[in-house]
Amino acid sequence: MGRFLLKRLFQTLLILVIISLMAFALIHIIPGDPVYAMLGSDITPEYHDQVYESMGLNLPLVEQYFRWIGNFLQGKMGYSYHFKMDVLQLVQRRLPVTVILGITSAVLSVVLGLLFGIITAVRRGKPIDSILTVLANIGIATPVFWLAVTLVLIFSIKLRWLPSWGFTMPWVDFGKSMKQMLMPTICMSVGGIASYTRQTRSSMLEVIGQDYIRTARSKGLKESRIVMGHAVKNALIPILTLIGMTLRNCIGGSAIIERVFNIAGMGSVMVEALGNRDYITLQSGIIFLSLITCVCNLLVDIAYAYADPRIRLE
Amino acid sequence: MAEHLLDVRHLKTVFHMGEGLVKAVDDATFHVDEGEIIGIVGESGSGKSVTMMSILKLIAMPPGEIVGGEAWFGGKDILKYAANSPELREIRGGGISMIFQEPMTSLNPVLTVGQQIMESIMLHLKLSKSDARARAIELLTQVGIPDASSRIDYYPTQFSGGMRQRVMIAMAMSCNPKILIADEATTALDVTTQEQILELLRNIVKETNTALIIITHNLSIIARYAERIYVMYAGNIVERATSEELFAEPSHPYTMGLLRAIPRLDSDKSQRLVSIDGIPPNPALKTGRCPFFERCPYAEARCDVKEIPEPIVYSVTHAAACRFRREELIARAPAQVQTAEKRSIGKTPILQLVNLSKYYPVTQGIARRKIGDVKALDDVNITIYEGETLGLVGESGCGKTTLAKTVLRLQPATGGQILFRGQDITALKERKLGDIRREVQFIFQDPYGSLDPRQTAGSVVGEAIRTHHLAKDKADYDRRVNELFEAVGLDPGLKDRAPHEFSGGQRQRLCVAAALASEPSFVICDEPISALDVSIQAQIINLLIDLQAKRGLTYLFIAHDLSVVRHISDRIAVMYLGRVVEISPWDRLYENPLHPYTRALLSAIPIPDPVVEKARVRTRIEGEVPSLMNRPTGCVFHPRCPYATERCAKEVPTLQDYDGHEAACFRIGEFA
Amino acid sequence: MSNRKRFFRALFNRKIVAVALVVILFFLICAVASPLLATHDPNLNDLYSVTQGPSSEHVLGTDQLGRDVYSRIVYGARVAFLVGILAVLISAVLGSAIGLVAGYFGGWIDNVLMRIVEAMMAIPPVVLALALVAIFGRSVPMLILVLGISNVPSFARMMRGQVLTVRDLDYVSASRIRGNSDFTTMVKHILPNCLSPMIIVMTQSIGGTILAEAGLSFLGAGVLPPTASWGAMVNDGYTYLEKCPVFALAPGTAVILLVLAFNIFGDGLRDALDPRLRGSR
Repeated sequence: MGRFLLKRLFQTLLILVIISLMAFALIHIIPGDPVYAMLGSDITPEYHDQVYESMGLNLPLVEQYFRWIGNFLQGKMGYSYHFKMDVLQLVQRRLPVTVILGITSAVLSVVLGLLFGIITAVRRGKPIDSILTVLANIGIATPVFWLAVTLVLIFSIKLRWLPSWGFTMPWVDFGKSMKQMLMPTICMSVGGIASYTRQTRSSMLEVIGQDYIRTARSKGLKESRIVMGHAVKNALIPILTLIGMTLRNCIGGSAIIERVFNIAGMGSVMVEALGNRDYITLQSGIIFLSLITCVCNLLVDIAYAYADPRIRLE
Repeated sequence: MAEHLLDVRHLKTVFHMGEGLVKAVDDATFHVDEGEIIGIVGESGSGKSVTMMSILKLIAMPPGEIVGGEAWFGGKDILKYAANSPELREIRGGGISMIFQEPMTSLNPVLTVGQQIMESIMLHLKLSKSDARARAIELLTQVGIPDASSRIDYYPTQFSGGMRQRVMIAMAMSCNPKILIADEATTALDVTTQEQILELLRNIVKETNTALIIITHNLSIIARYAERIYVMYAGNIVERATSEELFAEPSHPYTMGLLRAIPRLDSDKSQRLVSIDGIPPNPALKTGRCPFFERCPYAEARCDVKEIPEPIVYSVTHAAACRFRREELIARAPAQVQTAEKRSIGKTPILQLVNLSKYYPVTQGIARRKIGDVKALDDVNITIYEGETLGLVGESGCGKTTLAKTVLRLQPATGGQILFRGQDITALKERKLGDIRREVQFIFQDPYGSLDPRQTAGSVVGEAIRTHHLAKDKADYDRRVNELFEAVGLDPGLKDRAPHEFSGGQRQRLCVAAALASEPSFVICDEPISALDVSIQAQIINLLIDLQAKRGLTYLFIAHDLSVVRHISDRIAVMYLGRVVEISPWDRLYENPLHPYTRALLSAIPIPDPVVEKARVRTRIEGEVPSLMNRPTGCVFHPRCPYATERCAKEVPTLQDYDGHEAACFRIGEFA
Repeated sequence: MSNRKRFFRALFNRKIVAVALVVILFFLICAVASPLLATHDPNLNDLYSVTQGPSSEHVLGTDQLGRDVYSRIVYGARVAFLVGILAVLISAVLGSAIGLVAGYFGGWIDNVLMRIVEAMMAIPPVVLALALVAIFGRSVPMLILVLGISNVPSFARMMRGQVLTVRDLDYVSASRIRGNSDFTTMVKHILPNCLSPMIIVMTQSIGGTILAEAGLSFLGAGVLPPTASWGAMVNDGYTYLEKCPVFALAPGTAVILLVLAFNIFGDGLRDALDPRLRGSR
């Protein structure tokens, strides 16, 4: 097991290096001069050169990369000309908002998705299966923004139950925070719930057809014991590999959700940075958001190795 | 009426499938008494497993449905219970328990074996957790698992196939059932392991006076272990008899056909196998006639009625569902079995393997540092002469398939030479192999995996003709393909069908035709019949023998079934863990096996005749074939060898010639 | 012949699959024959009647520039189909090429390619698409390219897995034994047998790609105005949600219908082409 995790850790580091290369390449691939692209072409040539040098663009590419990554690791991520602040500061202020929203909806997706998946598989062909399966299909096909808009229309505009915008940290004002988070988390988790329901259902159905389930039946076990004691554990193993991607997808969705609900998180930073050609912020944002996915995947690998004795004993 | 332990009458099970109603079991009536061992024998699709699973309602319902019959057990008709009712669950595991075929998939991979056994014990015997654990350890010890008190916490993946099947037995016996059903429980195991498991089963049921029902396709196993036998065909029990009666006086044409169709260790090799023509009927298209009607050589007009014949009773224990009496059938037996044609075997070697080795590197860590080798083939020397058939036998891991792949240059050899007609092809570049690729052909074990599902039968067969530019023009190509179809007994009109539209036996014929397309002189057959039904196997064996006579082919025939190898081979090589341990003309090998492994292998094979079986003296060996990763030092067989000395653990014996009969053993002088 | 019949019977075994096909065809007709089906010029501003609710003149009302919402939805189908299908084609071609090479050659080539693919998968999809938009700019062809590239990883992984399974099958060895070259074996025996999972994943991806296009357009990173795109229309309509909800809800409903139809059809295709995969995904 140790060897397996060591291998995954090594692969994760490799992936992070590739991502940093991609992020670094961004500024060199965009058409035109990056400084003019960021600050507009009406700046003075002196100012241009000053910024150009401060970004290290005059150095050879390899040196540039190492300088950039070295600075990044020391927390010197540069200055955002659009947000008018240090990128590290910006990330410190905005990332927690997105992470809180992301984790809440990821947990919601996984818990409800697995639950619905198990229910549909066990009650295969029954009305509850049909209803949940249809809902899951619709959930996958529904655009996040449309769902958000509809919820705002119903709960904020028509019923006036929930605020249509803003975000408050739960420890500042718990009640307000919950009210504000309710709709965004629902929107961010619907897609996840729907796809987990489908995945878990099919994985459960496959496991239920296995020989060892027949063995368990031949021993005279109760159906509930067969499902919980024998089937679920096996069915979750393939699902586990997907869970690492949940937080990634939720955070991806946050770009849209933060826009609809006017939340100052990392997603809106990315959209704004793109709209204003703030490449310095964009680069750091990509690395931070990918880092989260990689850490999740690594945690999932540990869980995976724990859940599957075939890997643990390797 | 005398009470039987389990009395099943007129059981009928159907499956509602997309293509219609599949009548899996038409009419199954049988019984078993306390402490008795009975056998139910039949081919795949004969309904033998469905019958057993129907009794415990373990079939999927829907699509399955039990539409009739009774099953009396403990004074109750247990078919009346609903599938997951508490009453039936009490019987499952508690009264009747089962062991299944696949030891690899029948145990839950994420639970320890202890958890799985204790679960049953706590449920049925209502023992506490610690008592259940103690009993589980006791059971595991009883089924021969060494160091059971620590192995109880192992996961199934940590056991070998044979050990897992022992765990299954421990689990099935854990709650003192009255009946144990073994559904093809040893089919997936090696020959020597199979014998050990069956012996264990017999001993354990006799000790506890449990009834045992052995379900199998293998007549020989039944002859050795069962006291009474039921023969199933296409959902019907066609004959029931005691073991002695069945083999001495088979009375149903199907039973008679089966006994003639399988080669035996003691049969006369010059007699051609009498195959049963045709294929078992499609259970979705049953006509209501005698199920064997289409394939029966004795069928007459009066058999052509839509009614299953009433059994003729020969004795209290013996009955067969045929309209003819045994004496009438014998009088009309098919013409004298033809003698296989004589062939001349040349003296020129066609293939020589000189010190051939194939190692797979074992690596460790991220840097893939090499830490050792898996020796799949170790110093193999074999010469095959033109026109002969060399049989190659051995259990899993012995290297027989690796040998084939290496000879075919599908993978490079690690050391040694492969000489084909004297030419060294060991390191020949792929594009220089052209003519060798034409001359050396291969027939795979699995007729389902070896045909590209996206091609038509005709293009599969004709592919080699195109690759090697053997046809002058389109007409010549068509003529050749048609000839090949006819040569293997297929209608050329089937050329445009897809492979999946053929039955297993027909597919294997297609594979033979595809192999012959390039007009090869040397054909390697890798277990060509082991994936086929018993009644089909003889057809393919006869086909291979006929083609050899007609086309002067040389065969390397790889198999694990020593009776089949004996029937088809001129010389036989026995392999164990990558080494050839014995090589000899077929008659000498069977009359006087020299190597202790060959002896054990031979005696593990049952002969389908209970009288002969009882008189046999058998050499038994312990343990299972070790993994190639833990290959023993010295003689690879020494840890399991009853005659091993200290020397055997240190030195590697080489093949010694004893008058044309070679064996690799230090103590051979004592046996020769 | 009988094969084809069997395929269609299996495909339309569930009526919902036939319904899905009808919905897809309906939107396809909208896309092809937009000028015939639209009641107004989709880009014609009419500042005298902005953000009006449904009326006999404007079936689904008008937007903030007085353009006819119904006509814009009809024209929006063009972008949806164009982007959905072409982007999936690009990712299928690029992804399978990568997967084929990685799976067939293995070793370090496989390692490098798969790490790059995993790196792409670690970046949240919207963020990846945004970064690519930053590089390529905004226009329909660029949007197709962007969405095509961001979908490459899933195709590459699928194809690699498929090649690895097929590569070791007996009939592939059989082809080599018969004397065929590696290339012939790959083209004649490996590729055709990877095709049906490929077609299935392609159909299933079209829905997701249409969703992604709508999402990007909603964020203002999709097609350039005034081209009609369903996602951008929802974005426009969001501001006027209180006054005229149909303006935001109608194009969103079109997205759901078309995506749902593609997903259901994809599932049906999977069940018909590959019974082994039934119930999965």
